[in-house]
Amino acid sequence: MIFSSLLFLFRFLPLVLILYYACPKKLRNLVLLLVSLVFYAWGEPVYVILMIVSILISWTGGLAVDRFLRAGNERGAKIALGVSVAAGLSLLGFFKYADFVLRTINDVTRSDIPLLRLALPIGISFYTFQTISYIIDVYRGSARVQTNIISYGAYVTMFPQLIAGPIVQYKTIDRQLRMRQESSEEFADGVMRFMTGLGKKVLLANNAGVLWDSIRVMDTGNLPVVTAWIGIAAYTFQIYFDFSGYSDMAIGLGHMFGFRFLENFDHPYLSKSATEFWRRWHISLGTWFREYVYIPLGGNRVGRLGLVRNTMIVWLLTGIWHGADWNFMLWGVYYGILLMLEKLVYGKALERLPAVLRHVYCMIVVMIGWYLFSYNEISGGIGYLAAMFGGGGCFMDRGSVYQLYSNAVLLVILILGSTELPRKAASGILAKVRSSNTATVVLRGAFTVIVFTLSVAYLVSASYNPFLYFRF
Amino acid sequence: MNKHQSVYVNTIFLLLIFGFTVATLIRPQKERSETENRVLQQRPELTWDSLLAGEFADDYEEYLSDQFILRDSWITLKTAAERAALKQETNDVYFGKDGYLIEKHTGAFTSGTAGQNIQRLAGFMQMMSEKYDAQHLSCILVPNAVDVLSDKLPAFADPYNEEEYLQNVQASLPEGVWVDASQVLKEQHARGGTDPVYDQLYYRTDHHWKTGSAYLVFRKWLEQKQIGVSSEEQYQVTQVTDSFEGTIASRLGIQGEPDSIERFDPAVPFDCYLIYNQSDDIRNSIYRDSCLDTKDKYADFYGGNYGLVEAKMPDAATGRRLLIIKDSYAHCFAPFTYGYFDEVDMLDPRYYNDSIAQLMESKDYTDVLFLFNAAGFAEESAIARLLA
Repeated sequence: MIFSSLLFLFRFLPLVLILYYACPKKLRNLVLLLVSLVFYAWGEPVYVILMIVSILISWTGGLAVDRFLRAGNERGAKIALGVSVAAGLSLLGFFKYADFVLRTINDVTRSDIPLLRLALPIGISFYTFQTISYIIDVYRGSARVQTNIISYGAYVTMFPQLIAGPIVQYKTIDRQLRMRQESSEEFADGVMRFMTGLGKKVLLANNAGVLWDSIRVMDTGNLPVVTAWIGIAAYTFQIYFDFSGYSDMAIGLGHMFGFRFLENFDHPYLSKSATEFWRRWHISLGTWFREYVYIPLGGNRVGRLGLVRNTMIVWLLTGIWHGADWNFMLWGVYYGILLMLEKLVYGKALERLPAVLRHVYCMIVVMIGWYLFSYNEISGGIGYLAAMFGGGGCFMDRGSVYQLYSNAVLLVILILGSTELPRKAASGILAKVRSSNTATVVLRGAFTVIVFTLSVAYLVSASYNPFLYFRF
Repeated sequence: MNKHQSVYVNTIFLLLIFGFTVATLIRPQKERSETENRVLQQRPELTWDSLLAGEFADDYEEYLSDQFILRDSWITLKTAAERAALKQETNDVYFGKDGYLIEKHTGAFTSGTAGQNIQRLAGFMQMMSEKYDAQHLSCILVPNAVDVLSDKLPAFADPYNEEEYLQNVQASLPEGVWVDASQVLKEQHARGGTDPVYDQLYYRTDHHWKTGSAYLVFRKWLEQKQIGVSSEEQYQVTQVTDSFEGTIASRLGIQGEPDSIERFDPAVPFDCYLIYNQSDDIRNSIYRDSCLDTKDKYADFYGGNYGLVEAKMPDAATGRRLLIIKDSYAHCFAPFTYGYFDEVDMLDPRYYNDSIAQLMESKDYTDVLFLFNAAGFAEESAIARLLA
């Protein structure tokens, strides 16, 4: 189930709100666990068992690690940690990467091993990373062990973040799982945040997606430069508003149930280098890799060669985490190399450039990155990349002019929406009317009603409501 | 936000969510949508099998969307939002000039089916040409509005050039079979006349061509095949409605500029009766005027789509029998042929489930005409049934 659907808005969410708030506090984690299982099982009834197995393994692993540590048995704790992390990773590896590995073997050895053709269990990359972070944190002593399987299950399955993150680390919501204080203020914050996310996803991302889809199917052999860049820009906006909108909705829903998840995006398209981009994009994933891979490998305190090695490992993994295909690996390596170059080669020079140029540099490398990300068929991909740099044999044509002017309003909204302007304008206006309850309520209410109404209009009529992050 | 404000904001949100939830729950189901002209998904039955296969989930979501309260108004709102954002198209439809809503047919001509259908039609025509010479075998693909009314498109719009596809079809057919509807319509359009009967070639709000266009192409066919001659004086033209809002307007949920539908009746009437689907449903009029009171006014011709409509003209004595294999573009075309044949059968491969070859064998036609609209032909999987 996805948030931006009639089913979620007019069946699931109302039901969950009633159940959750009708139950006494003691039972609320149980309610969250049960409804989250239903949320996951909707349309994917079989894989819910896989998720339950994953939860049981990591929960037992956490208990074992904790018990060994208490008994002073460091070796036992290490083994328990290793076994449960390996188990989680094997499930992820098997269900997500088995066919990719088989295909590669077939290609390399010219053999013909039949593929398993398993459907990818939705959200497995997200929840596996959460369970691993939990066990490691218990081992490191930075998280308390959770003895209650219901609370732990509620943490892993919690529907707001289940299928597309943010990747919530257990230690950040341990206290909230044990005792949290829902309040009207927090609920209202959640409403505003949820509406922001819904609008980003349904009104902005989907419309950018329509533009991208109309261009990606064009014959790349005579695709004008301008059209190719409009296309990749549309995809750049689609993926940002899609994913960050989803994170906004997750954070907003979290608030409605008294949870505070950490931020996942911070205006990534304002960045002035690839390094900065990754501090602002999918923050919970970057944090995860830093804490559980990069730093344990020695981070940047291992000399130049070690630094290069560690960085490349992290980025290869980041790439492959996004999908079992070569283009994702390539995309990861691309960023690994860019970050290395910025750190070791031209970072200093870059900083001396005017801000505008640094921004242009960043957006160009990010857009080329999204181009790599979007093509899992190399053949079609090369033609498109060539077209971006003139391979289509013309700079612009009638079609380019048409796409520009007929999407002008959309493109301006997308550009402004990626900046801090909307947030600053909103907080500026709200600050002015802070003393007036009526004005505040009218403004916030109007925003809610307008975004809600337009989104429902698009959802009812649109057949177009894909969700990019389903693959992960 | 202070507590006081938050209570109000929450109330607004909960009213929206719960209000629509309750409304969708208590509203009775509708069987079909008049505006969209299709059957709506009904609430699916919950069974273990459907649940585990994920079928229930899919059907339920479709049900929720199809049966959503005020469905038509939401679609209207979406189209209005698109126009407010200065979009020149929505749902693959251009907002054309002079009130024209013009389907874009994105991808229709470049799909695998489009290519296969050329082969299929060529195979069928090849087979036919063993029995029929070019004088008695014809193929008409009517170009769509997007191709003919290019001056009505938004500035710089750059849709697929149907001519390319039509030329590929023509090149694959036996010599002399092709009748160039595209040329007739484009020449007429280039003349820039303002006669509402002959110069408005397509409906503004519907995907069909107008009766006057069909007449022009009919005359070209008649001459090219040397079946006879026809002049405008042979017909009495009546406007049967001026408030036709077609399928494209419906799809966008908007009130377009209403269209008129014309009917060409022979000035000298002759006897004719129609047999529907080889049943006892026998009628003596082509036109079903009850349809003019419904949304689907184009169904005034023949009452809509049927697998087989046999027309017999007992007094014609021409010795010729025509088979038209067609889609709904033929509905305003076929009546013109009735004055030139003893019998004209219209067969719609999308709805006719028996063997086409067997029918042809039993009826011993003297002439065969294939007539589809270009995009409909390119997209139609039932074309495969020609060779079955």
